[in-house]
Amino acid sequence: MGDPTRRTLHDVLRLLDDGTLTSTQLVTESITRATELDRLGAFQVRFDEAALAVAAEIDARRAAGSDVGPLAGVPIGVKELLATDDGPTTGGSLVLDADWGSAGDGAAVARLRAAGAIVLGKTTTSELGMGSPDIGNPRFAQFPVPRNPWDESRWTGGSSAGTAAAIAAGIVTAGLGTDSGGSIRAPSAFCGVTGLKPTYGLVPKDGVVPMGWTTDHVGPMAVSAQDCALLLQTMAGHSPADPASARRGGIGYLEALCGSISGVRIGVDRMRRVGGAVEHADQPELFDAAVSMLAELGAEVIDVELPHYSQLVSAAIVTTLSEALAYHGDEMANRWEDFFPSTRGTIGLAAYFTGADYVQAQRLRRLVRREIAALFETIDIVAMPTASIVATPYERINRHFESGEFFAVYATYWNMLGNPALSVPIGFTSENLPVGMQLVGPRFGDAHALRVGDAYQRVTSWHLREPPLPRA
Amino acid sequence: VTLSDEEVAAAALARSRLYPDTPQERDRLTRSYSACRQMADDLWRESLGDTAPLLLPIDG
Repeated sequence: MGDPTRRTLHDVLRLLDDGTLTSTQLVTESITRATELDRLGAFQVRFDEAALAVAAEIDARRAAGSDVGPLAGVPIGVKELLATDDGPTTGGSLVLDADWGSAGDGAAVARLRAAGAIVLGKTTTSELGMGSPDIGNPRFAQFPVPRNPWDESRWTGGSSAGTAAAIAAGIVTAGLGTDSGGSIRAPSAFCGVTGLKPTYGLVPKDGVVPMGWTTDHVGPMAVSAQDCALLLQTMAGHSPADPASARRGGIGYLEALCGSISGVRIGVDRMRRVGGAVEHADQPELFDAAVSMLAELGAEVIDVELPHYSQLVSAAIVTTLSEALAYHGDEMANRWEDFFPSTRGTIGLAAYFTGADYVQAQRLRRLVRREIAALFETIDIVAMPTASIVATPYERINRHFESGEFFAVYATYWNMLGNPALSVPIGFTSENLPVGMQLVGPRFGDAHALRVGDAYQRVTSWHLREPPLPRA
Repeated sequence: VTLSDEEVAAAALARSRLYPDTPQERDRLTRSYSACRQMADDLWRESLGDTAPLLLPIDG
């Protein structure tokens, strides 16, 4: 295992603030590292020159004593599913209109940029946030398939694959992902980084290629929960361009990180009834150790069982695929062969669902949301594995459904409910592969999840471990 | 008239204007029909009484 030496976003901000490092040096480091590790496939496109120009400008303003913003000078990666001012957005797909996203930054990216963050590049995504990569198919050769920095014979997981790889590899300390069924939390867990799916509507998603309007979320990925809190604080708040964005905001997520979880009631669901068949042998012990640590920190641990688990996962699949087919149906009818085989083979399944199925899924959503709200009357946080599996070997990428691995990632349930869910690293298997735990709060209780994750990370160093990659 | 799952699946794909371009892909998609219906049928396992659908929130 590596030494706990990884720099967090907060470390980098301190170094910039005290003059140990300039933004130009930091961006140059990131560019060098990204170039050295290009084989990982973390970036779809980089904006090296533009990033250096912005860094120089920020350095000059900082030197002149100007207010440069809370994220000033820090390079970040932005998932290729989000539009930015820097250039076209492909969504990792051949089919997206060439002018999609021509309006530039959506609210989330614009707010990070206004705070001084520098977009180093667009990070690789599974096609349209949905499909598995298609390795070796020359038709799709322009879309890299990220390799996991912890074991390059394995995938990162998706779909926010490149952001997870870039953070794990130490190219950037933070970035943006999207999550419609675990796309922030699964790659975070598989790459040993920290990722938050915020409460539905808390971070606006204008400028994001839609997959399922009901289940799509934008969220931060970083080294630590503290880093995620800072990014969330920057991005949260209503945007008139996203009609589903909530009229909430102004919460001090960083201030909520008090370091104490004494008396916090944590409902634990180990999920062994669901993923037992494919679970990694080391996962239960690692998860139990993490729960024990929360108890040592003063939390009250209570066993719970999430209500209607498998039914709500089915409802999530019916909902997201139906909405994806509604959005992409015309293109699928006309350009079938331009979609990745896994994407068309997945979205196409929505043809088998009926309008009544879709409505029934939304009825179930209301029922379970009530049940979960009642559960949160008795507990403050749910702790559960992010997944009971580890990163998938490269050659099995396209067999997620058949192998049962898709259902051993316990993320989709929360996309239907909208609750905030944070994935934090909790240890490594015997093969040195990272494992994650989800900390789920009540809706708009993002601060609770971040507080517990931060308290855990103050007494552990799993999130600071570096993968076995060469250092320049 | 009783249709096979394969026939129903093919009709559903055609209704959505989805035409897999190889027999292998068409077979793979139509073979998934029963698993998808099982998943959808799971939603109807119990009565939801008067529960109304919770649709996408608009304007927060």
